Parts: sequence; structure tokens; C-alpha cells
Amino acid sequence: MMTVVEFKPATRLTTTQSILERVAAGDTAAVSECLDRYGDLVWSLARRYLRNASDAEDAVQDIFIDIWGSAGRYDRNIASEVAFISTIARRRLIDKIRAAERRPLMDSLDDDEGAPIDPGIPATVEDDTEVTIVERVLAEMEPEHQKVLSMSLYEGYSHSEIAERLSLPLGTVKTRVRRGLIHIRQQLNISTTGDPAEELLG
Amino acid sequence: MNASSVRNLDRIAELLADEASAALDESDAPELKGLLERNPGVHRDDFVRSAALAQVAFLRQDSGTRMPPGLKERLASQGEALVIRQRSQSAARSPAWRPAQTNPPPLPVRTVGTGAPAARADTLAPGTSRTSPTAYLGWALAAALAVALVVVRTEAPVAPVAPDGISARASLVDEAADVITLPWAPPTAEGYEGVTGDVVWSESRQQGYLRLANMPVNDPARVQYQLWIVDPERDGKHPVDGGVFDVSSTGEVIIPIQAKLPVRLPKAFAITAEQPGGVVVSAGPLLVVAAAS
Repeated sequence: MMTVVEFKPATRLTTTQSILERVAAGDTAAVSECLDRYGDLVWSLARRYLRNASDAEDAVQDIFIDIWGSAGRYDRNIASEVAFISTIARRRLIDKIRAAERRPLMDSLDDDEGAPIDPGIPATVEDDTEVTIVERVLAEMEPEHQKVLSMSLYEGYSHSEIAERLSLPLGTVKTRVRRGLIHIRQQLNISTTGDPAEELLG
Repeated sequence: MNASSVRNLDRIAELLADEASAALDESDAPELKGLLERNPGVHRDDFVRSAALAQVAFLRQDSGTRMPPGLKERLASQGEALVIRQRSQSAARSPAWRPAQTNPPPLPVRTVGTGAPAARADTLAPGTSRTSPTAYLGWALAAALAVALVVVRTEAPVAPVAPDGISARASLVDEAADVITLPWAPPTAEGYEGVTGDVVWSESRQQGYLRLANMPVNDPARVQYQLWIVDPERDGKHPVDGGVFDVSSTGEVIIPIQAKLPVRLPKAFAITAEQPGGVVVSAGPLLVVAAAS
């Protein structure tokens, strides 16, 4: 059954502060708004990356505690809320996998909750410029390059697993992931060193 | 920019891309660390952020799943408690809350990750009559020996001894329906034999207090006490860091617990003496322990 998650529009906010800024300021109402707005996003990322719902629950708890605990460091001039939250989520999910000394096995993903299709999640980030830029970058990539990136970054396969499944040399997989990420970084204009991204691309 | 600098940045980019895709070889980690130290202008998060945004972009092409309502409710409760705690701690930070400097007795200090022998059994086991506590103490000791109490710490704040700690503790005990009370087992660690008191903890509020009497005064410049919370429901190997604190009086003191992560079903609380600011890896010994029966 298709489930639609209600999207809480920005107009619901009564101040000009972002949700994370309000959390940092001690506004307890912002906690629920944060969950309403980003809960399904983080949960979906965790379910994609981790083997079962129990692991995902643990990870999502850690992620949100981390998000709220570090909300004071959020700076809207540096990154969007989606970028801030998804970056914390990614770090935590990688930590979780490494701690368990295993890679996610998507084939064994349990569907104990029915994993409903949720078109509400894209709406959560529909106005996020950074995500839009990355979508464009991905759309312009060769399909086989995009596939490697998706398997690595989104589905959580290791490079050797990707090489085996796509019948590619391991070095090719590694190079495609590296170059894909470097290209995304370049297009996002993340340049903290002041060095031309072309130099990084070689 | 010379050729060497360009080569370094190329290599940093490769290694950070590996890190962001969870593919950094352990053998490459020291090289990355060294390169980042020599290039402080490079922000480590840049590639993780790029990877995270790609992850979100891929998700938008796919289908997501809805967070279970029960989880959302629990998180909301924990998050609100965290925000309230952060707010009150921020408001409470003032010099008046710092413990007085007295002449402290010497305390054992272990450095991080020295590989030195951890707690001896005779400093931990309170006796044979308390089988269940001993089991948990044994678990904690095993954890200390096996993984050296590796925990996740985001910061190391000093837990202030609130002037209204007694009433705050009493309010928690009176108002929270799920409060558990664990008495300290008779300590056997040298200098701590006379310590008495208990721990109260509410899972629903994620809040609790230590009550300690006859606890040796510490010199915060040399050593601080650190609380560890053993929660098998949460993680079988890694105790939760409960914060560092100072004791300025051998009379009864109330210390608020500052768990850095949600605690579900605490089975034991243990106090160690650590370097100022606390540690992420403790070699023990466990000086004072309270365990569920």
C-alpha cells in the first residue's frame, strides 16, 4: 500500500531560524519538527545501508542524538540542513558498518515493516539546491559510472563486491568512485583549499 | 603551487574519496592522517558531504521507507530531554559551580591506551554473595580487558555538582515512574572502601544522579572521575560515557549523569579515575560500581 508522508512546509516555522538553529537555542518543539522533516530521510538511508530494522533503529538513534548535540555547529552559510544532517548520517552509518565488521547485504534486507513506498521523502529536500546540483551531476554521468557510484554510496557495496557483480577490474571501480566523488565535490564548489578542482582531477 | 603540493592534494583527494565511500584501507589511514596534518586547509568533511548528498540524490530516484512511529516517539522524547539538559547546562555554567580546590589524596591515573593491566579482580569483585552484580562486574571487567572500554565521546564537559542536586534528585525519584535505584557495592579499591550511596536513573527521562559519600576528593588539575554506564541492551561491548565530574567534599555529593548516548536498560554504573577531561579508552580500574541484581 502506498503511504504518503505529510511534508511540513517551511512556512510552518514561525521564526526565521532554521530547525537546527532552534534546536541549538533550546527550543524543544524543534526536535519534533526535525523528526517530521528529516526522520523518514534518515531512516530510509539507514534501512538502505544496514541489514535489519534493529540495526537501523540503533543507528538512527545515534544519528539524531548526534545531530541535536551538534546543532550548535550548524552554519547555514556553509551547508544546507539536508547536507548537515545527511553528512552526520553517513559518518554514523559507516561507523556502524565498520564496528560490525561487515558490509550491508541488501539482498537480505528484511521487510518486517512492509517498507512502504514513500513519495514524501523527495519533497523533504525538493528545494535543496545542493541536492539538485548533485542530481544534475549524476544525470550527466555515463550510466555505467552512475551505477558504480550508486552501488558504492547508496547501496553500500564494497568495491570488491561491485567489481564482482559488474565484472569490472577492482582498480576501475575504485577510480570511478574516486573520480565521481571528486567531480561532485567540484560541482558543489566545495573548495576549502583555494586550489583549482582541475588540479585535483588531474 | 609546486608539483609536490599538487601531488599531495591529488593523493588527499583520492584518500578522502576512499574514506567517504567506506573504502579507505587501514594501511592508508596513517598516510591520510599525515597528509591532513600537513595540509590543514583541507576539510575532511568535504568528501563525506559530497557522498552524503549523492546518497540523498539517489534516494530521491528510489523509494524510501517511513520511520516507525514508535521510534519517532522515543526519539522525540530523548531529543527533548537532551535539548532541555543542554539548555540547563548552558545556563548553569558559572564559576560558582566549580568544585572547591582542596588538598586531595593521591588517586590512581591510567593513561589512554597504554595497554597496562586493567582492573584487578580483587579491586572489582564485591563478594561472592551477590552473584548477579558480580556477573555484571565480570562483564565490565571482561569488556575492560578485551576492548579497553572503547566508547564514543563527543565532548568532555565537567559535570557540575548542582547546588540544588538534592532536590533535583528527589524530584526525579518522586515524579518519574520508571526510576531504578542501584546502591554502590562495597568498594574494595584502596582508598574507596568507605564509599557509600547509590545511583538513580530514569530511562524515560534519560536522566539520573549519583549519590556519593566518603568519596575521595580529586584534584581536577591532575585527575577527574569518569562514569561509565553498562547497557547490554544498547551495545554488548561499549559502555556509554556518563561524563566526568569532580568531588570536592567527602560528605554526601549529588552528581548529575551526563550520558552521551541514549541508555535503555542500564545494568551497571562504574566510576574510574582518569586524566582531566576524561578519556575515550579507559584501562580502569573500576573504583566504585553499582550493578543490578
